[in-house]
Amino acid sequence: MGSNVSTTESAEGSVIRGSLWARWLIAGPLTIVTAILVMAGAPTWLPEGPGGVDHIAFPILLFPAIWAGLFLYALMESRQWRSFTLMLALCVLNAIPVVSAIRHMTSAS
Amino acid sequence: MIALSQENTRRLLAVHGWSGTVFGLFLYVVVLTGAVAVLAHEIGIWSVGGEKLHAPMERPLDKTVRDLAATVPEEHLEEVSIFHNSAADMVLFFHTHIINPESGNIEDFGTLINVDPVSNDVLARREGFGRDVFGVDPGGALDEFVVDLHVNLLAPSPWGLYATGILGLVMMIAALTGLLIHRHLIKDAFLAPRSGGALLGRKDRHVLAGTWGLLFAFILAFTGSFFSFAGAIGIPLVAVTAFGGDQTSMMETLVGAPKADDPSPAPLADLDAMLAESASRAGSSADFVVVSHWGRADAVVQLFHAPPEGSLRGSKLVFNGSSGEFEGVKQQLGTQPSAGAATLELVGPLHFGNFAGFLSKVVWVCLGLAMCYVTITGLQLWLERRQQEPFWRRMLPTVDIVALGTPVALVSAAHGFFLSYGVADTHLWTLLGFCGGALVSIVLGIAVPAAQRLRALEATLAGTLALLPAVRMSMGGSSWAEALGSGNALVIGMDVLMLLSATTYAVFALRRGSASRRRTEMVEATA
Repeated sequence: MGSNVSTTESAEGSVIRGSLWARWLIAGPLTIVTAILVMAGAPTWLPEGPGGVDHIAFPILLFPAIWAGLFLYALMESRQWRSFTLMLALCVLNAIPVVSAIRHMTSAS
Repeated sequence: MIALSQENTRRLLAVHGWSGTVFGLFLYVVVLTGAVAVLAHEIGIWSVGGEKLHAPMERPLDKTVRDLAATVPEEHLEEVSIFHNSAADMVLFFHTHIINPESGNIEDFGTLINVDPVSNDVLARREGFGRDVFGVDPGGALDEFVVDLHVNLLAPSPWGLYATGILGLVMMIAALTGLLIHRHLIKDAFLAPRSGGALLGRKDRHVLAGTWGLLFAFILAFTGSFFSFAGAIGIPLVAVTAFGGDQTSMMETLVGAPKADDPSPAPLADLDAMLAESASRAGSSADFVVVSHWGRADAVVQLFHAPPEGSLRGSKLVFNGSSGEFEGVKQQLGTQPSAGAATLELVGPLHFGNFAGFLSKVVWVCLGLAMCYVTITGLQLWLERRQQEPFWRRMLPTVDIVALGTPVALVSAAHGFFLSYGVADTHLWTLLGFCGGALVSIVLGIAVPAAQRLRALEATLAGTLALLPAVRMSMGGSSWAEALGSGNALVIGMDVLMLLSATTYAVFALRRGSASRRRTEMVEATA
């Protein structure tokens, strides 16, 4: 009996530790990569505005806020698969124009 | 009240506490030096004993600049920068742009000339790359040191900038998690600190100061991390996506199409007339002037103005260099007014606190010092609750040493500056003064018994502050009578601020001494 309790506690402990690691991986490296990619990709989907520079100014200006928002979301979302999926989707969607621009640059040079 | 689940509150509290604990001491140094750096302009004027002339850009400059232009190599006339330093000496940098073999980058190379604003005598003349000729002006050592410490933490570029940027992000998270875990935001803003024990009272004061400083901490952290990351990461990345490497298109969008090249000779129009017209249009005198293509038909004069009274935004006015005609107001970003450029222009005033003159700077300094208090009391609370654990017990002296040792080191840097001004390399001695002050604080913090540690550090800070005006004057700095006579009341104001701060810390040290004596007497009486 005692052995069963100890095994259950150990399993719960490793689940909690695993969950903690997953949360820190999402809130840490994944959040910073997502924030950088959102900033880099934003000029392609943000409106240019009447002066033609809003799509450049706002992503740079809002980078700290994008990171902070994603970090808090990753921290507070109880279902980690949701925060992971959202971050991954943001990464992929914003990486497409970035990779395309880099390929265009390298082929032009 | 913000409704949060127990699990989220626990998680946010952990992030709030750990972010402060791991980065708290570095954050404290950045915030404290930032609060001091808000007064960098005033420190610069104070350190050189006052300005030789008020509003030096409003006096006639044309003849002086024209005479000196005739003395420099012709290629250095490609671009001329004109501004003034803390002592109000005119600084003229006649330069071209060439590849620096050391860095492999295109850099400014030319002749830098310092001119006395009253007699027009040449005070110094240096030739070389921008990075070599700037930053050796002995008068600028102290204010430049304070700003560099705040921006780079004495680390090499760009690592120091990245480090302070990360600290900005940490501060933003500490402020946001602090906001979210506040159960009673309005009530906490009017909290009366309880007297039921030192820890309880300190916690209440931490919450009180933190509540009032939340918005300020967020603004500072946001704008600070923007400054750290925008140039190094943001602009290059966004430029790749937005322009796909097309530099011509990028320059045309961000700066505007360049003027058509016309190298035919044409004399520069009257600089004084352009300065006067620009000042009248902008509402303030120019503080920086750039003349491109001096002596050519395609010459352009750009005049940069600080925000006028009652305005948050500065301006850049452009004149045709050969005709002297006003060509228009140039945007900081882009060629047309835009929400993006207007918002970007607000970042600087919000970070530097200079949006409403000296008054807003004083408010920014006070709020900065309040944030220092919040950081240190937060760390102390965290450590005192964990005094049973040896690791955290050993950390408490470190917090005391950094909390009082940093201001001691800053004041010692000022001593280093004054003792070397006019006799040795002020840049080196300011740094040595800082390191000396830091070393003395560390030795004191380790050598003095724990019960006397704070008192010893406070007494050291009081002593170094009290000596500062005397050292400044004894090394040839202007006396109060001279400062008053030349209209430099700021010098007296800064001296008085040092003496008042010294008195405050002396009172703290004395009070701590009598409280310690009372405790000893009570213990002895009980025994």
